[in-house]
Amino acid sequence: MRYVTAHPSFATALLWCLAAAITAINLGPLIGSTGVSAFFSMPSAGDSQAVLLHYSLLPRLAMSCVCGFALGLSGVLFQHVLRNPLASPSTLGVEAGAQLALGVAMLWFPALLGWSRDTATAFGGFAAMAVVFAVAWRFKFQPVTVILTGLVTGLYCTAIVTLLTLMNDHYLSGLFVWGGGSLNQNDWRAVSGLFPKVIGCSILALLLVRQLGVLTLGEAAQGIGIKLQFVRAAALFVAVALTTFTVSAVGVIGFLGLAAPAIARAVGARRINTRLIVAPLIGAALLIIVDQIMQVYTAKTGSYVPTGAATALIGMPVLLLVMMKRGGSLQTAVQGRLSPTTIRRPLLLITALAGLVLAVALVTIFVGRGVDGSWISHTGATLKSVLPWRLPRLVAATSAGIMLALAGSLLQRLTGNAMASPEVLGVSAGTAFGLLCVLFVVAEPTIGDRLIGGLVGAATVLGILFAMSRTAHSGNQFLILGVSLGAFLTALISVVLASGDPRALSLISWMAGSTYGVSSTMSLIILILAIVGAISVTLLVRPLQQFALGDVSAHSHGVDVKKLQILILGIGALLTAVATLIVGPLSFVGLMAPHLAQRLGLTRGLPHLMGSALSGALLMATADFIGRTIYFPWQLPTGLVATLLGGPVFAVLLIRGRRLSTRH
Amino acid sequence: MLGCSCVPLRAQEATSASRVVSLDYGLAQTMIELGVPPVGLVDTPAWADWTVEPPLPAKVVNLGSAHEVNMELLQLLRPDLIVSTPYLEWVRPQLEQIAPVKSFPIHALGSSPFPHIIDATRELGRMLGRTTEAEALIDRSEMELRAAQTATRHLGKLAVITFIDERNIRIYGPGGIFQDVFDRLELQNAWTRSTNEWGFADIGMADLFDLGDARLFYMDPIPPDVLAKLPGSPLWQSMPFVQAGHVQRMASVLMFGTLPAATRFARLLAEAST
Repeated sequence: MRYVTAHPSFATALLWCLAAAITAINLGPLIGSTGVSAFFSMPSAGDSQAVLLHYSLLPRLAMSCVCGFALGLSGVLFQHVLRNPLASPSTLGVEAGAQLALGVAMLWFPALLGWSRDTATAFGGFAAMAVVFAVAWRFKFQPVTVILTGLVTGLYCTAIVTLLTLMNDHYLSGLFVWGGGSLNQNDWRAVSGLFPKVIGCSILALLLVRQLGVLTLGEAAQGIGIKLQFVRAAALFVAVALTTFTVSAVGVIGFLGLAAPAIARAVGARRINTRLIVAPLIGAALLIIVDQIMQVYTAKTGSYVPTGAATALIGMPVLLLVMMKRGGSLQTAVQGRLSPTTIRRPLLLITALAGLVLAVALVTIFVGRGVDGSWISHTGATLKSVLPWRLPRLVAATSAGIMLALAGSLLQRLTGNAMASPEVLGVSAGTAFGLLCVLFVVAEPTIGDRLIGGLVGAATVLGILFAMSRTAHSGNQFLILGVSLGAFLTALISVVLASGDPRALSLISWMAGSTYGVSSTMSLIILILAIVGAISVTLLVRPLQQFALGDVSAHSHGVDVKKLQILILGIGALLTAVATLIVGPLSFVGLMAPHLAQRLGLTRGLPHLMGSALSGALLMATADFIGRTIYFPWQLPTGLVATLLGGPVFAVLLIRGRRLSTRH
Repeated sequence: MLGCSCVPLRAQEATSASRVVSLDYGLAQTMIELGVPPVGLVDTPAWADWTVEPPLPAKVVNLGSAHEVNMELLQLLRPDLIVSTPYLEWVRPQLEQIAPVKSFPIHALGSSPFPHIIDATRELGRMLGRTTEAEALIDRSEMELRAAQTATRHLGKLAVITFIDERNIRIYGPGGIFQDVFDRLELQNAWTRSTNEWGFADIGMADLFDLGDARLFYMDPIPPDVLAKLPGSPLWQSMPFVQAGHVQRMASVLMFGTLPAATRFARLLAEAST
């Protein structure tokens, strides 16, 4: 390959040697006893060793190679087109869409699975892509819009999957194993189905090489007469197709699509042409290494970890190491911003928002369902008896909404990155991980144990982030670190889920954002913390304004950038940790609320912060009421319902905002 | 924690609880057998698919998800006792605002669940004022297990699995009630590798080679595409137990069940061996 410079090809070759060595250690003894002929000839049914090699181990090896290649390639395409090193196959919601389709098919259309499980999942992946493309087309596939719509679509699908899981926990264990990414094979059918599709996509990607190189020029490329929109759409389509085919064959292989291109870049593959070749090869080698190690591990210990989850566990430290060394060479994240219009009278809008929050709160307090499931507005003694259950939920959910929204505003301002949110910073995942440890270490965990576990987890992630902040130069690097940590912890959690341990289910319901365990004392404490948080954030309005203009500008205004960064991050993380303990890490109110405020016309300064906080509160209060009553007697987790409510509102505002801003 | 909750319970013993809510399928099974069905139970619609026996009385109120019992509804039911498992210990303070809570540790204690099930049956009998019925249930179960032992003598080595999907399988062993029933029937589990503390292991199909030509039971429910795909899988077809024709389907038995689940499992084995 003439594009490959000496450096990246050396690193790639090294990885492949490692992959070959580990494969030899794992499969060598068996191949030795059956002879190489087992590779090619049909073994006789009686020869169990040869059957094992020919129909299980070899297809599995081939599958890991093909999947790793496909995910590496799709990762490069995503990151290049979206100009964001955080972009990965999950960014566009493809994996979540596929998982949703699988879940729906399992529950309601089992015949569909009997016909073809892979087609059903692939349909979900492409449907998610269609939604993203429909919105992104109007914006000429501007990276920031694609990422935002993709993230929201993904969240939306994940939210529905989680709901289905909670409602049908007995039925969907297959979904967890799929989510963990299992490479187990029974024959060659799956590989031989996937292989031609991946080859086809790779050829398409190679045909796009020249145009992709032009993309780097950004909007300037318009001048040279290349339709940016079409190049972006075509490249994204190839990337989505690769991901969809892979996930429908083996499930979610976490992290590989993010790690392989990052490693390729770090070992010196700077040009897109080089990366397009190096990253898939690195992806394939990585997945083979991880899968073979997992086979050895399972054989030695007898405990089973799905390979897809293990990839994240092993890939994450690698990625961190690479980034620590080469942090400076990573591309910067999305800077492009949509410019929504500012409205003239923000006070009126804020008052209206506050009024809405109050109205929803009143409905929530008085309306409920009876024993027979009928709708009633409770009064008198009955109201008094159910109020201790209703009020803490409402107060806690609303307060958490305010805190997450504020944290989201802070982080988005600080980093100038539209993707920034407390969930992205990894603090939520840290809290989740702390809780997970408590669930497994303490035999009968009380709510206090859970709190301590969650706080310790959040504090640990914060500690790591701060320790690394010495080498990080910009807010964006914090985000990259946070996302990596988050992905790592999420992978750990999905390992536990895939293990089928019943304790994991209680973790899911918490992760889904359930306000179930909140006592009245706790809700009061959270309310106070939310108020304190809101006041301290107000004091940061002025320095934040300067951050919005960029680090350099803030510096020239005499602001001590470093100290202020740490202060803002600290406040953001604390707000997140407390809120996450209440509503779980999946609510994404922190991502949506600031955008909602912005789309409503509250774009800057104090009005923006207040607008975000009120949007967060409104989302969560409404979600609490709906979650409690809509599917009685089941209670839908507030955080999830907030995501489901916020998604469409967000999409409508995004599209409407576009129309408004084009009018100028 | 347990100590403090026992005080109000003992005071109640004389009258014994009658409006009891169960937050666990297994405990509800035993309560129905003792003649005191729960007034409320979690996730009642799925009972027929997973627990099957004994049938659930129609008037039992559905309390929603097992992980998030509907507290408002629980309050409106006015129970005088709530029975539960240690996995809901974290909401015990809330539950105790409604009624006294008794939690029964049965599974994942690092030992076989069967003795804990017997203890729980006696304790439930005492709390519900049905000690004689509880002893009768234990005796009846022992008798049924003995009867099944004679019937299953010819089964030889065997294994029980459920299909997660066509490539991933859950297999049962030490730590679960299925192994306990094997032990009481003096049957030998063909799966000799380790299982987790809940008594199962998640494996790939290739691992089933270890079972040799033992008898294999795959339990309901089965994902719809699995049965269609198995015949086309050379790996499955070359399994010694498939070639020996030792594969049988089995109806669902509650994995985390109590005595009624154990006897149901034994009876299904006995029926399969005829």
